[in-house]
Amino acid sequence: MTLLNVERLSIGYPRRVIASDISLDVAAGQAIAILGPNGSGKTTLFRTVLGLLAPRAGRVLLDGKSITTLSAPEIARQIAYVPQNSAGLFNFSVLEVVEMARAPHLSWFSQPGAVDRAIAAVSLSQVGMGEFIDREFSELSGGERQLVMIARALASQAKYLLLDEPTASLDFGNRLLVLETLIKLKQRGMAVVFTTHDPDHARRVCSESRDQTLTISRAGQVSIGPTADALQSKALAALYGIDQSVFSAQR
Amino acid sequence: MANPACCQNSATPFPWCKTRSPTHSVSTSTSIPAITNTGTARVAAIHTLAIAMAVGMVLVALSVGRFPISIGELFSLLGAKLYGGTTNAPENADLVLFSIRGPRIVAAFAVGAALAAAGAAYQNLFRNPLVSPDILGVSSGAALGAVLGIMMALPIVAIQGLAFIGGLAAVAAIYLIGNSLVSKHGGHDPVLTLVLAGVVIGSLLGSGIALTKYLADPYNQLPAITYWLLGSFASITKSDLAVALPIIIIATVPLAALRWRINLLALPDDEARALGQDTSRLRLTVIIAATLMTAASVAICGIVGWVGLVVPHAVRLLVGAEFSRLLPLAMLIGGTFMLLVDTVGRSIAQIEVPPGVLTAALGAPVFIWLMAATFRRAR
Amino acid sequence: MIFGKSRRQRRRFTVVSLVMALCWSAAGSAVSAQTFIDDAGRRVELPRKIERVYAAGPPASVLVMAIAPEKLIGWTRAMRPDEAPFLPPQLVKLPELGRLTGRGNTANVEVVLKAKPDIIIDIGSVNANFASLADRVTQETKIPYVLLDGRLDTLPLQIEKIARILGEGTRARPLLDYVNATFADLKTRIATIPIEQRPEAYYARGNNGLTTGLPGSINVEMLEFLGAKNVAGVGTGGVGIANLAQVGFEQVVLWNPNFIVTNDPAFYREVWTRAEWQTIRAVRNKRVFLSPNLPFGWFDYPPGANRLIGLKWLANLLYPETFKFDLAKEIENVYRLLYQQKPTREQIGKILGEPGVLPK
Repeated sequence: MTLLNVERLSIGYPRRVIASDISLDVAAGQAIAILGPNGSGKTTLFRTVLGLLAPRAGRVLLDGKSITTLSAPEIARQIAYVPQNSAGLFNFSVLEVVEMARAPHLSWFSQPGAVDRAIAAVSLSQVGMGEFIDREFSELSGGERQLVMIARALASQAKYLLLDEPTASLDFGNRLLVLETLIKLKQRGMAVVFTTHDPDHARRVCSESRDQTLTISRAGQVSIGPTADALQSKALAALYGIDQSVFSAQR
Repeated sequence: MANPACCQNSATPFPWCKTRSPTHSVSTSTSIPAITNTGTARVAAIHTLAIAMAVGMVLVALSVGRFPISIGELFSLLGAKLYGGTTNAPENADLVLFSIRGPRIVAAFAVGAALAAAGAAYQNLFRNPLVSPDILGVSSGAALGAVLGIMMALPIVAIQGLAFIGGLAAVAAIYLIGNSLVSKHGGHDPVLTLVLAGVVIGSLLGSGIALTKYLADPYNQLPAITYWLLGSFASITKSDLAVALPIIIIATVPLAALRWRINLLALPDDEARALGQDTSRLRLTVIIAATLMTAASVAICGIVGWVGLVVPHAVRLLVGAEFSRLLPLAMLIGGTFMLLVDTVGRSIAQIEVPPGVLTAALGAPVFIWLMAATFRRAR
Repeated sequence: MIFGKSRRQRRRFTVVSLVMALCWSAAGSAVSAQTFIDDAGRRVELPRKIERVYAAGPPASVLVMAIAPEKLIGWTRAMRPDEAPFLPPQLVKLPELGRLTGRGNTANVEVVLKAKPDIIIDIGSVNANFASLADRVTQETKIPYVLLDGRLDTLPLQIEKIARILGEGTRARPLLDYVNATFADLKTRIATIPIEQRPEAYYARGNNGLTTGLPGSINVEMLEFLGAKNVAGVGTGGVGIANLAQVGFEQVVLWNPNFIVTNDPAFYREVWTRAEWQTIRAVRNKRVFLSPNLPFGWFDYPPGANRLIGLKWLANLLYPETFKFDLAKEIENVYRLLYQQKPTREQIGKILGEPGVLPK
């Protein structure tokens, strides 16, 4: 059952289409990596799928319904977003940050209750951050923040998880922790879609046959297929516009 | 490039994996971690202290002033007011307490609370702890309205009305300009656009005020304008309160009702919208509420700076950023602080010390101490 | 704080200028007939012929107009329609030149130059700031600039000095005589009034009436001159840094003045209806008065010779038992001396008929 369908989608802004003809089906328990050079529209694709940006053409279907017909909370209950580098400007506690994910489940004037708090706490322990519950978010390390942000996505009880460069600017150990977490989430039946600049990260998370890798070139050319095919050195060289020999030497 | 798979092995040669794994390993258990929240007791203690200070400050403010009323006379007057009967208080003490000092105390507390609430909401909304309630031009707009009213020698009520309308109009103009820019040329941060529109319109209003001052009669109107811009609670009467207080209270209702949701505005716009929050509607609600309470305050007492900037900031250092915790404490402490400032300002000399002067003089040391304490704790 | 200077400063400058004046008069022979020592102690070389005078502010305008109207070349602010009928048409139509030096300096030096004054005369506060500004204007324009102390009690001196500068001793005589006679009359008769019978007066400014003039400020000179007790003077020794100040209403209740004078029509209207003011003795006894302001203010602004008529008006109100000036006659005298035109019966009636000018 594929319940999040991206159909011939064009993404971009009123005067500038960034990429077009993107088609993608996302199912539970599936991981999809998105690769592409900087500026190729990976974040724009996420914003469009989340309904934050209107599609230039095509559509995004959630449970068969176009997301343009759904309300923002309806989308947020299904699709969770983990942004790149969430900066902690104010001194919110970790629990308070995760509790914010309960917003689409609550009416405008209500506060999160005991159940919401429990969901937030469970989500934190699922990513191994249970002990950080009372810490100040802004005092955490980059890796810890990223895990808290993933916990926040879990606390929204969404089926689809969109992560924008979840491993960017993390140290080696933290990168592994985040990738491990993504694999665990996939195994627990969530759909995990993430962007990355590292083909190895795509290979590592999207290792099963039903997992896929989507590439967007700077020119807006989109291709999707099994990870192993998409990440052949020839394809990568073409995607990033570098000579294949350089690429081989690197490997 | 190292293959990350090397770390999957528990016998990894990488020490950091080993040391981190107890805390960070992906847990499959779904046990709920204990929400100990050691801060809860501290926050409760701060609340209790703040309420005690507010009550104490009101009592002090009632009994202190140029017109001497002793504590005994104060209670006998209060008793006479509530239960009837006569008092031994001196002539005019009744008038001073209930028509002059009383309204003034209520006004100072309400204005302090309103400015602190508006400041707290705006700091969240603009994701910047150094934002004051004036950022969208409410004070400049109100000032221009009042200054024009003074130039035209209008009655007090009309000047207050012009100030209120000027404040609302300035914010409306800034909001509409910012919003139309964002909706016409999408993809820009709506909050940043608002700030920029605020800066531009604010300086335009500022030059309008400057021009009016320049053209004002230097013997008569200019001092009146200067005093208005300095802010003062000296001329507050019951009739001023009868209009301003309901506006402040009504404007507090949406902030209080949305106290948890306003937290989402502290997130980047995309992030909050991805959590299903209609940020532009929430933002507009907060702006309307904050503008109403600030404009009503400024209309009756002129421009009082500092409180709206520093009190929410200081309270955030004390109890954290969570708005449902921040709002009541900021209002309580803002009101108490404003009352302290006004009580000192009306008591220490025969002439009034402008509250804007005292807020900084009394507040700056407290704020520096608070920052030092926070840095110490963080280390 | 905002206007003028402190009492202490003023006293210091008075001393300085006195000492300087003494030095100069000691060296009298060295000073040519063309040199004038102004009240800031500045040596000003006077031109041989002075036909065109730029008055730097309203107090100077009033005196120049009174002594040699044809030499006045413009106003710092054009006459307004309600002020114009009190002055002869040739004075009314003089151009607006703006203010110079600090007192709201709206004048463009080029405009001043274009008007080709032979001299600039400024009457008001005399201190180092105004003296240096005057020096600067002279440096820039080569036009001599005379700065005179504008306090009420020095009015006869101001008249004499301007007469000397303009070479108009004879024409200034009637005004000087009137001022000297008025001062002498007021001083002798007030001296007979016991201190305890003098009103405790409060000067209410601003539309809320809570701005007042502190002792020694130019704003309440009239009250002090007339020997009234300025309630704001009691125990304000510590706040001698300001001219105007805001006070709380509580303080007014404590002072409980029995005489209030204001220049604000809005305050005058509201004082009778605002509940809290009804407890004040002056309001209860209907002793709140609004100073007329045509063509120039009678009480404190502008702080010039225009206040002469205010002295008689206020003396009548402060001491109704002692002073019973015929105000219509006095207005006629003073206005003719100052403004070169006898006011009509209607004009006088209009001034005196305004609410708050005469006792209720």
